[in-house]
Amino acid sequence: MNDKNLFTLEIPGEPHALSKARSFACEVACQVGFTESEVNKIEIAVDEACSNIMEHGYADLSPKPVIHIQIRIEKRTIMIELIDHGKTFDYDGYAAPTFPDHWEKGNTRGVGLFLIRQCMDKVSYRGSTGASNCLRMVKRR
Amino acid sequence: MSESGLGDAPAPLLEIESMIQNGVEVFMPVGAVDMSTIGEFEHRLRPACSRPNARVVVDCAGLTYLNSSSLGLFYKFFNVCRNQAGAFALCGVSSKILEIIKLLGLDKVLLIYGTREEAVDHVQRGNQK
Repeated sequence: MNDKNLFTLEIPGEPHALSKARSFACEVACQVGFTESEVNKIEIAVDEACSNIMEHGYADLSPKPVIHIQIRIEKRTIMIELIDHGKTFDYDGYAAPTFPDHWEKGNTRGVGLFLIRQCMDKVSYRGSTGASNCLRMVKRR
Repeated sequence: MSESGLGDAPAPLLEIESMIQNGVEVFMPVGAVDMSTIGEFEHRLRPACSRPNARVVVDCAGLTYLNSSSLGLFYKFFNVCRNQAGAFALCGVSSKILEIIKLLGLDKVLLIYGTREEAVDHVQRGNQK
């Protein structure tokens, strides 16, 4: 692996760090030629994914662990991995919402993973109790 | 590129000004609404939307980012206003934010106008979807 294709950032697992995570992902995506619309979607995916980690994975932890963001560029593909040290998420058990039913039932949240899947081409998750979890998100130009 | 975000001081991300225009309370947030600022955002909008016959417009022109929870909040305020004979609308929505609104099916539900004047005019007359 050529290191020039690897971009890494470590952020505190707290909400004030979200803007840094978004800026970082957008900067890398812009550098490799993604369109403005694609960069916007990458920004949404990174923000929603980091928010989920902070809100759910790190809910019971104090102090909050860091989140590692690794971005790999391969030709026309960007692969973003978010590695956290919190509670494992039941990724396969997630039921995607349908609209407008979701809103009409009074829900105002619970659409983060849906958005991530809409914004990226491929999303996968590897959870590991007691170790680290990894959400991988891939998008092609 | 390798960076560390550890130890960075939090920067102010969101400023919210408001004004009354033709009897309509218009909010003009500038910055990003994400998990770090949504509490402040809700705190500012909730009192205005909770009044009977509330007429509220959020001018989104200054927003650089809006997360999914903020949009859920918009839907909640839209309903709160509507259920109390009021009206709630958005204007100045960038293509970036409109894209998220569409992905979440909220373009079919929320009142969205191009300009502040249009939004104020419709909300003042109590237009509802």
